[in-house]
Amino acid sequence: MNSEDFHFDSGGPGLAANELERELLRRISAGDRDAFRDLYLRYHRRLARFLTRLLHRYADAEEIINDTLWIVWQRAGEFRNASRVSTWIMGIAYRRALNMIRRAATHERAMMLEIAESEGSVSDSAQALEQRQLLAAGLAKLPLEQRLVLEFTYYMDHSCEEVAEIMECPVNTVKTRMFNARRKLRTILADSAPGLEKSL
Amino acid sequence: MNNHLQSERCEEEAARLLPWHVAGRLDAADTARVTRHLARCTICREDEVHERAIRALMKTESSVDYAPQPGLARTLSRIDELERESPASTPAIAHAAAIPAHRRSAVPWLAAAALVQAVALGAIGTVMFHRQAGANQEPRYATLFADVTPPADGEHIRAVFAPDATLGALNDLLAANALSIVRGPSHAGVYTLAFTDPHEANGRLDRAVAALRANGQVRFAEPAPHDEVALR
Repeated sequence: MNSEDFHFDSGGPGLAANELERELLRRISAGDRDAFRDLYLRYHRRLARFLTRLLHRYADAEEIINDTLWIVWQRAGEFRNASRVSTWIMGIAYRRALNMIRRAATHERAMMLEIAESEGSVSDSAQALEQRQLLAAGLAKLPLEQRLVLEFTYYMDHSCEEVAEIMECPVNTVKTRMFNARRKLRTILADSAPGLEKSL
Repeated sequence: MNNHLQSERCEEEAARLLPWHVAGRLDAADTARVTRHLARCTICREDEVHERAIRALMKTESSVDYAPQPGLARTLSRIDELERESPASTPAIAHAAAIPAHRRSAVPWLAAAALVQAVALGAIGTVMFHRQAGANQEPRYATLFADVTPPADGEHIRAVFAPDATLGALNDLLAANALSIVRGPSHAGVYTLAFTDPHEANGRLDRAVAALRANGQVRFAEPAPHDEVALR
């Protein structure tokens, strides 16, 4: 894995990454396509993974990615540094994805699906792959809003306040969703994957 | 490690912050608060281990490679297409258009050039208007996507709608903002919108553009330059 690809402002504020992305936005607002290309490539992998998990179809994920980055191109000049760039972009992607889910009612369909992640690779150990699949199946059984809070926090390292901003809800709602998500996930894993739950 | 029962979960506020402590996204005060709590709460210490394991598993990257190039190429192509259709959609141009008048006056040559251009375009527009008025011929038929010349006065908006936007939703959106489609779609999917009553359009343009932009069915909305609308 290229560490540059997986650059989630991880481990805290990620100030250097945010500064770089702010500069990219400034250049994009002046019509700089190289800057747009850089930003697109920085965000594609994280958006692809997040949205594919959310929408279950890469084609849908890619449509949202392209929509999101297209909006970034259009509105880069409107970014006011009130939040991190990643929060702003994830907010756009989240709202687009939510619209797609609501329109297509894929959420209900997705909730009934057992996630069969086709992400196996020769470099993954069988145990790690199985654990990821079990966890993914457990996450898929959570209500969408709860699952997203977990994704934004654990996968993308967003703060509670940032998750609230992305999901356009009060901070306390995020905390409650997280609390319920953790409790429910634990119950799900204990029932459906007791081996995984014990190993955690 | 899951020794405690669900009923034994800690309900304190510090426990609710635990996930962000695990993610390293608490400020110093909350970090200290959670750390103090962890020192005395067995349940939360167990939870912390569990949450770190969940996070590590979620963070585990698979070897799947998502190819960004096709999507990037499509998006750049879409930008090219839109800019050909609507040059004002270029961020730099749109930004310049948004510069307040007192700042624009700092570049007098640009203002002069714009004035000359405006006069020239106005003249062309007038000629075309009179030519059209002189002809005074009503079209004998119309097609669904035929260009409909919008009224010469009034404000216009150029917009791109989501491909899966429903007709009913668009009708509602346009009606709510007293807009109607007067031209489009172009090859890039751009529609030109006008206020149903041009006399009531004064001061409503910005609000209508904002309302369109806020709507999930709208991909792009921008005030259309008068000259551009009149000349097309």
